Order: sequence, then C-alpha cells, then structure tokens
Amino acid sequence: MRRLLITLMLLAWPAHSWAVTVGSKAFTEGVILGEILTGTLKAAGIDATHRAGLGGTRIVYEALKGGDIDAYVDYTGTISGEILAGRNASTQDAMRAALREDGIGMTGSLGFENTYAVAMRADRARTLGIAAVSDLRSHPDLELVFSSEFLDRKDGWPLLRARYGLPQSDVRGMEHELAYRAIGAGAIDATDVYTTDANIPAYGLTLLRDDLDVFPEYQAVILYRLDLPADAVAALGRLEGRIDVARMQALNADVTLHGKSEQAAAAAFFLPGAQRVSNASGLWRRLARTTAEHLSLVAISLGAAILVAVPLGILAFRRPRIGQAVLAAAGVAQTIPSLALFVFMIPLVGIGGPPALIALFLYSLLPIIRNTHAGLIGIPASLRESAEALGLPRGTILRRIELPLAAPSIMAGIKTAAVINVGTATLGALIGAGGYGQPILTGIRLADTGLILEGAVPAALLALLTQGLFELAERRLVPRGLRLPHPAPGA
Amino acid sequence: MLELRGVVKRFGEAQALGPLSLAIPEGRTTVLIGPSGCGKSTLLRMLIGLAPPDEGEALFGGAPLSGQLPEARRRTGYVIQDGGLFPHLTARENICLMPVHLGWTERAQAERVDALAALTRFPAERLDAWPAELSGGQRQRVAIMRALALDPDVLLLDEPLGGLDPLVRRGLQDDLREIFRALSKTIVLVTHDMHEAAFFGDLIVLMRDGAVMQQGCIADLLEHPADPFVTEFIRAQRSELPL
Repeated sequence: MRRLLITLMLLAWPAHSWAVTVGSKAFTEGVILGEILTGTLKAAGIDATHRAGLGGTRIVYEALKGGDIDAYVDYTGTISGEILAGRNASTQDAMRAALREDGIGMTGSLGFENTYAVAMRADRARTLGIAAVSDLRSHPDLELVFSSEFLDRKDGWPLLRARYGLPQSDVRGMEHELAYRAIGAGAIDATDVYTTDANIPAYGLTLLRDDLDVFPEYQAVILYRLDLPADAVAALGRLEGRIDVARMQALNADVTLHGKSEQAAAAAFFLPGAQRVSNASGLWRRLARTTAEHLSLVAISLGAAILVAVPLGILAFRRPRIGQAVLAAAGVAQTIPSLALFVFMIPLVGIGGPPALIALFLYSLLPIIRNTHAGLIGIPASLRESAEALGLPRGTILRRIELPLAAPSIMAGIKTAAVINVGTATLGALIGAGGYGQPILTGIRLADTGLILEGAVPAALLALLTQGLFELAERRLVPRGLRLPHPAPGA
Repeated sequence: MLELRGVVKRFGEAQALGPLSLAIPEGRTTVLIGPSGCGKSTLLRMLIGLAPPDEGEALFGGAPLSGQLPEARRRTGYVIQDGGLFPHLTARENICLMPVHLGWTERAQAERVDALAALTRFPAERLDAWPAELSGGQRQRVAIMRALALDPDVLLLDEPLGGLDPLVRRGLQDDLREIFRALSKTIVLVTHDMHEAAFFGDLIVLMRDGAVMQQGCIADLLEHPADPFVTEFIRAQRSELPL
C-alpha cells in the first residue's frame, strides 16, 4: 500500500516534493549520522525526516528494504558479515552488486572506519601484561562481557574465539553502554568497543591489538533505496570522505561526554558555532509526548485485546476442543520474546507504532482469554443447570448469568494484561514506537541516569495508576451480590 | 402430563438409570425416594431435559420433551437443594428473570412477586436483598418463587429441604405442603427421607440402583411391599429415632 502511494506520488509530483525518511541504529554514532544525513538532505532542499534509534542491524535493514526508511548509515564489515552473510561479498563492489538485488544502493566510505576492538582498562591490561588479543589466551579466567550483537554475529565473538583459540568459557552478553559502565567500574575485564567511541579515553580503556587481523573493515557507508530520486542520492553522495575518525570521535564525545543532543552535535557539524541545546527546558514537553505515545500504545492494544480475547474466552468455554487450540496459540504468542516478535513484524507492517501495537495486543490476549475461560468454567454446575431449567435462551444465559458471574475473573485478567502491557510498551521504543522506553533507551546509551528516570519513573507510576484504576473499575463492574461474604450453608 | 417411556441413562460405562417407564399423575404430588445414587435426581433432571435419555423417550403433555424444550421449561418450575439462586441478582431479580425476558411490565412483575411472597410467606422487605444476605430457608423460598414465577403446570423439586437445619426445615416443610395444596399442580419431589415422602407424597416411587422397586401410596408400601428392600428401606428410617 505504502509502495503504491509512493509510486503514485512520484508520478504526480516532482521528485523534490516527497519526503526522504532517514533511519538510524540505536547507538549514539548511528543517531548522529542519521541527523547528519537528514541535515544534508535538507540543505540540498529535499524534505527529510529522521526516525532515530530504531534498533539493531536486522531491524533497520528490514525497515530499509520494506520502504519504511530510505537511507541509513551502516558499516562494510556489518554489511558483508551480517546483512549479506552467506552471499560471499567481501569487496565493496561485490557488496554493491549483492545489495542491488535487494533494491539497495551503497555510497563510498564517509571517511572513517569504526571497527570492533576488544578493550580493557589500561591499568588492568598493564598489570596482566596484555597488549594484543592473542595475549588473552594465557588468561582463561578473565571475565569477558560483550554486547549481545557482538556476541551473536558471525564476525564478532564466534570468529574471534575461533581464530585466536580463546579459552574463556563464561562469556556473557550485556547492553553495550552498560558494558562500558561495568568495565569502567572494574566489574568486568574486557568488552567489545567501537574504535570511534569517545568513552575509550573517558573510561581509561586501552584497545587490544588485533594481531591476527580478524576484524574485517568497518568503513561507514550510506545504504539507500535505489528508488530514491537522483538529487537525494547525489546529496548523500557528497558526504563521502567528509568525516574522518577524529571528527567522528569528537561528534560522539559531544553527545556522550558533553551532554549535547544528537541534533545539536549534528548541527555543529554543519555550523561549528551552534549553541548547545538545553536538556532541561523540554522536560515537560518531552514527558507529555512520551506519555501520550505510551498511553495510546497501551489503550489501543489493550482495547483491541479485550474486544478479541473475551469472545475467544467464551468460544474456548463453549467449544472445548477449539478452546484448547486457542489457549495454546495465545500461550505460544506469550512465549515469543518481544524483540523477536518486533523483528517478525517489520516485513509485515513496517516500523513504529503498528508492530508495537500488534505485539502488545498479542501479549495482552492470553491473560484475558484464560481468565474469561476460567471464570466461565468455574460457575457451579447447579447454577448453570438452574439457568438452563428456567428456559432462558443460550445468549441470554451468557449475558444475564454467565458473564456477570465470571466478571471478577475477567476483570482480574484484564488488569493483569493492562499492567503487563504498560511495562512491555517500554520496549516499543526499540522499533521506533516511542513512549517511556524512548528516554530509557537514550538514557542507557548516553549513560544519563536522569534520562533513564525520565522514562522509568512515569512507567512505574503508570503501572500503579493502571492497577488502581482497574481496581476501581472492578468495584463498579462486579455485581455487589458477588462481593458479599458467602453465607454458611444451611444458615 | 409427564411420562417416561423405556428410558435409559448411562454415565460412562455404568448404567445409571433404567430401562424404566413411569407416568407422573397430573395435579398430584409424586415423591421419588431411594438411597443415594439410586438415580432419583437423574430421573428428575430427565423430566426437564437436563439429562436427556440415551434410549427411550421423555414425554411432556404427550409429545417428546426434546422437541419442545423451551416451551416445556417455561411450563415447569425447577428447584434444587441449595436453591440455585444467582448470587449477582437480588431476590426480586432472581424471581423476575423469566418475566423480564418475556417483556412483562414492571407493574405485572411487582404484582406477581407480591403474590408469590405472600404464598411462600417470604418477608416483602427482604425482596431486594442479595442471596448472600438471606438465610437458608429464605433462599429456598426465593427459589420456589422463581420456579413459580410463570405459574407453571409442573413443579420439580430436588431435595428442596436438604441442607437446612431441622427447625427451619420443619417450618418450610409445612409451608411447602400448603403451597402444594393451594396450587394443585403436578409436583415431583426428590428426597431420601421417608418421613418427608410420607408427608408430601400422594404417590411414592421407591427407587434402587436406577430401577423403580415399587410405586404407590405410603399405605401400599407399608402393607404390600413388592420387595424385601422396600420394607428394609422404610424400617431403616423408622428406627432412626430410638424414642
């Protein structure tokens, strides 16, 4: 549908009048580069927007392929090792040819390489006499913690361990920015870093020499959709060779060390004298926005889940065999990790609100279906038969007798779903759905506790508020006769 | 009015009831009695279509019950041991479930409820109480009112006095007999208590292991027992009181 719209717009209007959507991966450098791409396009008179910090490679590349975004910055090592894994594209020309099959183009290097390196605290490395990755072989007890992405990707830890024959067995995954803080605090011995990272000097880290040349080249390049208008491609192409490593480190430092926003850092790239944007001024505006986003994620997904799950619970009760299947299916949906569910959803519905809504909707189904079913099953046979013996039709029995009797259980299920929903909705930020997860993710990335709290505190308050509201609703909706203590038999 | 023809009911492998045939006399009170598990409740539930027979036929007004369930149920009142009141509805709402469904006016409903409360000696000021706020005897009176709401031709009662303490039981027993007499409906009552059977029953149907051992008035059962079990069953209950 979106493709069709875009095609129609292309036919109807000159190329300039349609907006280019720039994406970025969820780490500081990615977001800064996304801002720079957006600014460059705007400077060329092309309308452009930035969907910042969408997630990992898989999510952003799928979004590019699906047309949700039109361009983003990735690294040649990631492209050959992950995006084009198994397609044997090691040179930039081979990558370009392979990407073309996906309808994707690739610029030349932006001028810097951001490769992986293994980092240790300089003092610890000196004490142990470690200078190169191969030195790790003689220290099998070191505690290595890598970012989850590095741990899993073929050109990351698996390759490193195989080529160097590293003996460490207790290797764990951790969010990248958290790993920095852990190594800075001496809680872990080594982790993966990006070579352009401003934190390296800040945390007193030293990079271990890649003495076997295991890590591939990680030149920063722009990936863009081949259906972009020629002037947009030309504008992006002008960024080739414009940013060197020192420049990139300085931009990263502006954000991670000097507290600038990515927008401000990128603005400084275009206008070196630009003012620093104050962080506190927009607090209430940001809070209003994230609250609105979060509430709409929760309200829409939960509302839809109630409308679907209560009838499914009734169906499961009336038709036990279908019921088993329904309960099993909802149970399976519940066990899919949210991130995986988001990734499945991207090719189907793109990024942003829709995949998050669908995921939250699916997660909310099970507690409601299960409690509706349990509430109906739990009605004593004597009451059911009394209703039937009166001569009331099935539908009336359901409406007047069974649903009111099951109401306490159904309400409890909805309350559980709502509280889970409020918490899970914070993960929606991983795929650009916004909400309270946005400041949390950004806060973790920037090691900014205030920003983390800006998301975490309202999320916790909202969960409590939800709980309270549903308890009030329970009082209104559960018939008073059911809330009285049960009389002793024969009294 | 009510008749069972060669009915059989199985629960899993076991044959719970029958094959048996039974005609319930119209306008009289029939008591089904027997030890636990003899099938008397199943038989009663068969008469209102809650336990359809696996073989044979249940007839209502001369025609198969299965073909006229909704109508037959509206012409039949059914009361179970604990009353089967819906806890989310007040006494009045319980009684008026069917009248409301059939679209009676509020006035017609109120008049019917008042008449029933007088008949069953239920205190009118308790009509808007929740079942949980009523005593056991009051709940049972509400259940009887609910069963009588549409002025049915038939009233089925499954151990209506079971689970009540002796004094309440005694009071309700007397009231119930007066109600039965005042209404002269076709009444079928299930009990395991011989005194109750003798107290209510124009016709007593003594059952054992899913079969009818004997039917007749209490004098028949006492004087012309069809089987040693009949005498044994009656004597066992007589000797309950040593005084």
